[in-house]
Amino acid sequence: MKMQLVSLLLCIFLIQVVANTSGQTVSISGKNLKLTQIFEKLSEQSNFDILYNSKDIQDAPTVTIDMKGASLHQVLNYCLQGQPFHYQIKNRTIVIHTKKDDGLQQSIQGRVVDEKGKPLVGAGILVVDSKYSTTTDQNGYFRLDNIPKNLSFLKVSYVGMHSITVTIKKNMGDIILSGDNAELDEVLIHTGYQSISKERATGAFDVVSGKKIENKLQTNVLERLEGMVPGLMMINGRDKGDDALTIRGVSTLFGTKRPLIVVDNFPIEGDIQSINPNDVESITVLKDAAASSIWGARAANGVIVITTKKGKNSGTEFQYTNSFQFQPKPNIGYLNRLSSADDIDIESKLIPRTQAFEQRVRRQGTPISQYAQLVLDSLTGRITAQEFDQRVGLLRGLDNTQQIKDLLMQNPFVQTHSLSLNGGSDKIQYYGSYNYSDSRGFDKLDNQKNHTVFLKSSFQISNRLQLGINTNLNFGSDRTSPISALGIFRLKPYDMLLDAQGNPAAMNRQAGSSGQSDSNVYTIAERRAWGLEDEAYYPLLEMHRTEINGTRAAQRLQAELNYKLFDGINFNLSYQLEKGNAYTKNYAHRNQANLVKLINDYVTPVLAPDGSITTNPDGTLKSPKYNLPQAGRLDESRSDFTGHVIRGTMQLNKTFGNHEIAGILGLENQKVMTSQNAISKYGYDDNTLQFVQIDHENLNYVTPVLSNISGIKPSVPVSDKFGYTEDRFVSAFANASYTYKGKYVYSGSIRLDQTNMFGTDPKYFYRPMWSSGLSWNIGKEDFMIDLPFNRLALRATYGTNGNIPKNSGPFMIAQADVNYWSKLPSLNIYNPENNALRWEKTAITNFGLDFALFAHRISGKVDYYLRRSHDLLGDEEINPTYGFSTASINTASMNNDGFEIELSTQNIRNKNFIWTTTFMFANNRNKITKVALASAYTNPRSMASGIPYVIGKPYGAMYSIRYGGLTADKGQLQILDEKGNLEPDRLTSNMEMAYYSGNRRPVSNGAFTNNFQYKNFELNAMFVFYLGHIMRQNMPSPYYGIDSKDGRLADAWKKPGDENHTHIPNVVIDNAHWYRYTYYRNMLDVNVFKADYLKLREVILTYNFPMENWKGQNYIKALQFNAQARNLWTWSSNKEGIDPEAFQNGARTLPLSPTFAFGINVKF
Amino acid sequence: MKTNILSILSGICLLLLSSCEKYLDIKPKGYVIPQTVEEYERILNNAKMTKLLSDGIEQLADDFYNPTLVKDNRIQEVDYRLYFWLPSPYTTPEDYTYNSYWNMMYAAIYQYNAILNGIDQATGATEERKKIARAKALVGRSICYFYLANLYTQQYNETTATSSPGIPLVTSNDITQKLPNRGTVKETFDFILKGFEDAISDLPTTSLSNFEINRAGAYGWLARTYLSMNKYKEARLAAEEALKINSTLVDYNTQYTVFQPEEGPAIYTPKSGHIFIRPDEQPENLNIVYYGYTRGMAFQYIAKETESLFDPKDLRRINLVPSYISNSEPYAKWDKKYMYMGYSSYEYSAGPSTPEMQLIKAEGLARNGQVIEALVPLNLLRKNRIATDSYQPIVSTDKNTVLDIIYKERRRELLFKGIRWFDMRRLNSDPDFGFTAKHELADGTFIELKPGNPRYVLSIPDPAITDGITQNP
Repeated sequence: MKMQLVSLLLCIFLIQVVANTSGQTVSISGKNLKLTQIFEKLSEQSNFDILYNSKDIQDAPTVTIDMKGASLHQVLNYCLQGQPFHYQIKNRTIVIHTKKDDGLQQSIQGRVVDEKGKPLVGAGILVVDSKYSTTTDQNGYFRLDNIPKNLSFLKVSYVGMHSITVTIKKNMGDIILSGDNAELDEVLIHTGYQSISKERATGAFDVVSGKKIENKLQTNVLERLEGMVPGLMMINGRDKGDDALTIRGVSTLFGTKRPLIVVDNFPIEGDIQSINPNDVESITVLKDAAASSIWGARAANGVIVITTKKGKNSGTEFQYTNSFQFQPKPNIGYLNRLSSADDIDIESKLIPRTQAFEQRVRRQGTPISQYAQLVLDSLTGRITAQEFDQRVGLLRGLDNTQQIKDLLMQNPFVQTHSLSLNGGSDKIQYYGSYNYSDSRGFDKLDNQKNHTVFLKSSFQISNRLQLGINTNLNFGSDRTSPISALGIFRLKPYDMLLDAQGNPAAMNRQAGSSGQSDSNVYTIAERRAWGLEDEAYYPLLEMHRTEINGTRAAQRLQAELNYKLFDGINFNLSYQLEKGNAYTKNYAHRNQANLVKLINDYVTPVLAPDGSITTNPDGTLKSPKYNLPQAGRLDESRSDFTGHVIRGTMQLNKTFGNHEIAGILGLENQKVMTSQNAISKYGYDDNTLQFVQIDHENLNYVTPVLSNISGIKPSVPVSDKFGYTEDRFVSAFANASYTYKGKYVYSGSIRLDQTNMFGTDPKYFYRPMWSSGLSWNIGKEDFMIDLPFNRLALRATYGTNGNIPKNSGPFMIAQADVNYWSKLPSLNIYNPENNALRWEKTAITNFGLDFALFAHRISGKVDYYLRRSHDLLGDEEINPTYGFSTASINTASMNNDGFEIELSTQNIRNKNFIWTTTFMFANNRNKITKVALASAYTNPRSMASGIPYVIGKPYGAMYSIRYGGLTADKGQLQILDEKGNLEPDRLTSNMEMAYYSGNRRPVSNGAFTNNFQYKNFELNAMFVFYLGHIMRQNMPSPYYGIDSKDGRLADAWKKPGDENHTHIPNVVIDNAHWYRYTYYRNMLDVNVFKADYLKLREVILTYNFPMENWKGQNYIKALQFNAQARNLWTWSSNKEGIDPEAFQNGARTLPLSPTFAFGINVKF
Repeated sequence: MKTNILSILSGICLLLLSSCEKYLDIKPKGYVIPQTVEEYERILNNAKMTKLLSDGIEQLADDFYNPTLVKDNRIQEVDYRLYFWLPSPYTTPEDYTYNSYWNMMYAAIYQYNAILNGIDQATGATEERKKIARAKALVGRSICYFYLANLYTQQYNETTATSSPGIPLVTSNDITQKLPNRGTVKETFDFILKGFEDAISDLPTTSLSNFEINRAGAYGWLARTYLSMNKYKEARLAAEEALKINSTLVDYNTQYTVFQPEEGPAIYTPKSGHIFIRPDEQPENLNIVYYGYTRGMAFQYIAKETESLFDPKDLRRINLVPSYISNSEPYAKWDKKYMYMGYSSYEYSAGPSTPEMQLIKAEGLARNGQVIEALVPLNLLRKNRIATDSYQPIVSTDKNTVLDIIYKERRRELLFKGIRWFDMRRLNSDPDFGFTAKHELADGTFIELKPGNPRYVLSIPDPAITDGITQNP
């Protein structure tokens, strides 16, 4: 209902404008009519008031007129022809002026551009010595009508540019402004709904120009933003996972944590990979409420607005960019694996040398190491003591590191080619590009290819009507290695990939998937003897026994119609269609170890009456029944999505003397549909495309006798599923800013979002997000005139943004299923009726100061913000008597307070050498202020091992248990309670035992960048830093098994006295300490360390070939070479030698090796 | 021209939003906001209601034997606490959710309440179908309250029923509503009985599958309820009503044979290949309820005393399998213990069946002094269960003798059918049949649960002790 009201209002507004401009026609006829008579009739017929000075008009000559259906303009022009009057139409009033002697008028039009011919939007145009003024439009054009001819100068000004005064001509052509600082090229802020000049903005925006990120290497455009925007945090520099990329901290517990990504004014649902970074003109990051409230219910995490390049009004220009990126294989030695000899020494203390153990291993298939196998073989006399010693001696000397590097890894390599063209005329402008990238990861066979085609065109259909059409097509394919080098490295160091004869070797490992029981050399050999297929795992052969391939495609079509209704008022209608699909295929060949094992597990042998397995004389199974087909398996999944957005806006941009008003009023409609399906087929053959239909229902009743050795029934995995979601939004929004004298700016915005996700109850519908802001350009005040400030502005804003929690609603929601037991179609109510649900809300207060002084030698800004998020959804524990033990309730609250500093200095600036330094620092203190969650921990162990949400502590809090030293006699682990007493009860629920160790997420981050330009060379070096967080290392695991061991075990307690200089317990764990060790070893404070680090993220050297030296050719316009390196150097605060970017879940991960790249960039 | 463009533009604007409420009012796929009768009917088929029980009810019972537990053994906490009849057997949120009857029953009650509260406004079917769905939901809800009442309140007793606390009778679906308090035992049972009685006449006598509630099943549950209230006459009448609809008894002699080798335990084998038929194909079952989440009772150990109740020629012994264990030996050996064998680990019905109805009928008659009449259903059942070559009908005129046989027969016939704990509650303080429940430990010692012990009433899970809901002593 209210939405209709909004549209009605919008229509009324439109209709008024219609009346105002022209639509009216009048009919007047008569002989020798006095002007006053004509004016009366006009007034009657048109409802326009006509103001005139009757004294002046009285003596005017009479007019004979006969006009029907003529416009007001026609009538007035006719009547006043040759008369000493002219008229002006203002609102609904016609003013008749007496012409002065100089009263001839003219219209002036022109365009304002910068030195490079780029249009300047919002440049101020002032007719000197008059009140006439305007600003340039989106394309830099301006027009002034009815300017008295006696005025002869225009003053053109633009922030960051030298103002100039030019002589008035009817057509001014391009007026070129030169910058007083090149850094200030980009002062236009794109909110996705409108483009406004920095001067008129009150909110916290950051703009990164495409030029600044074009030479970076990351293929993901968002990753290129690291270190460019204060307050934007990219954990490990990677846009990976839900909470890796955040702006001003995390403000939700279970909602979306990622900022909203907008490309060319529309939020995109597709993969960011579909954006070619070379197409980016600029990126605007909206951080506070005044900046982002226009995005309403999806803006709580901030908004990143990507604007692509558009055609230029000049001849066609091509640009070709090519880059090659090399990377050495990662240093796997960083993983700190214990050597074969040390590993064997430790295992020799741990392996149980009992008959019972030997029986269990042999019968149940428990995976064991090669060393353990030798121990058991010697224990039962299968090998002699001498043979044992000899073979163990061999194992001790083995190390598979080199084989893994050589046979399972490749040098990561990325190459990209990008070709773009750009050009146009007054009427048509176009930009097009094609980008191809081919990258391979460090695992052999890993490969990714990506093609992007982008076309953007703009047509000036008439003076008033402009049409823009963009298309973006993206196709990608990837192949993934089924063998992870890292995974193999985590097995024993003596597990060679090739045996001494150079043949592929088999390895013992956990069979892993689908609850399969494990197999080891004994069970594998037994099954081979039974005539079943070999299920041993040979990594080198496995590499080609599974094919994992994927393809994806994404298409985006945007159309925009821009109609200039009236001077300063534009109507804009735009539409975006997004489509995408992805496909993955995982084809296991019939000899894939996991599959063979599953097939073998499901073999039903013929049993003798006593229950034993009957065999043929040669030992093979007697007529075994295969319950699963002896062929391959296919797992396929497909997903696609379609998004529509349609938006209509009315934009106002008007300057009246000292007053500037800019505003926007609009409506938007959005729909996103996704669907997925997946299938699994057994007995599949990729050549014949045949498969065997297996009866999964019946398999449930098969007793897999052979797998029952260990009592676990393996499941036959099937990934068949279908999914479909559809989200719809309807939104109405408005914002306005008012600037007085270019110094005082007020802005306000409001947005109302409605969605189907909360059902249809109007109670939850009308919750507008709004904002309000003030800015004061102190620099423009008269009293500042003698001070060295180029710019000084204060900003203050307040407003609210929303966040959408998905998959919950106030309604009783049921899920359709088929009852597994009764086979009847069923519904399960999984979400109870809950009338208290609403959107999450974040209120942001922001104070900012922008400054530039000494001719922009020093510039920067400071922002301080308070973000108060409340009504955060969480699963709160409720009385189970309601029928649910938890329910989603808007209950939690969280604060994010912080500040951001950006400071740029031009340390040296002369003709040949420029040295610029940029420093960015952001601090974010996150605190949960209210929470009542079901995840409330009931004991200190789960508190310390989980990521608890605790009042007063940040999101990402880490709790640890106090380490109590090692016992002097046996080197066993001890822990302390909060009073410092040794805590004996491993099952204690004393919550005080876990205490707060710190924050897992960096509290501060930033970048320090130096840029040197010397003649044609440019060198850019960026350091990034992340501070204030902690990490915790797991205690090395001393258990025997198939995994390799942590190198720290070399420092384990060995004899009394060692407890004084090591905290690694004895590898032999006492029964009395076993459980304490098992429960607490990965949550001890002694393993907590500071994770602060500083990294030389990138160094870029660019050489611009001096074209003036290459005379006599007309083809190449510019030529640039660049070389760069990433991650060359790291400093971290811990003494363990751990790179915090190569550390996860308490353990080291493969480190980032430095990357080197070379590129060439040609314009022709 | 300009006017035209403008009106088109404003028209588009209006169009954008003209019917936004309709636009937003879409039905999401994959999940449903129940509206039609068919959707409500489908809630009845919910797996939560099929897998209603946890096996805790059997771990409490004295038929169950856990050979791994010793005193002060705290490795498997829940098993330990149940087996030792300790207060608050369930302590962690996972235990509450997946094992505690309180949570499981109220979760199912929510689903039934959703049907009862919504079916009147539901569309797309006749009043007749609504009536049936409502009746099934009423019975389903009463079944849940039957379990709650018999687990969390004092054993029903006419004199204390009006004062002793019952359980909260939740009928709303809105979790923002206040919860009712516990009321009294009488109120609770009145509510349960009313649920059955209001529903029975609307129920169809038969159903496609015995997962669905039909009239015979409802009478079966009603008979169980009355029996648990020591109302023998009403129990008998309800059992007879159920038997009027379905009195099938499978003669085990047609299914199984027994062979006694010279050494070791007798071998019981099915005659026609396949062993136990699936519960939904078993014609004796009136209504099926499964154990959920846990493995059910298949391959669980049986107390020695229980095993000794089975004669060698009792064909029900096919349910008992000797447990072979390897104990680190190369070959497994019989450890002289017996395990219970179900059709498959997850699927074993604990719902009412015709043999149980015959036993309730017999007990009702015997309690009323009609001993001779009581022997008819008792012998009928035995005849179908004992090998023909050794079957002898029971002849007795002594009420207590017959009742004693009936109680033993209940243990044999209804082994691990979720009933023994309720019989223990009902009978342990009976002056004629009273006993002290025992659980054997791994070392051969026993722990005991004496008559009148407060542990015959389970503790309510801690999270439920809010909103005026009081804990049991």
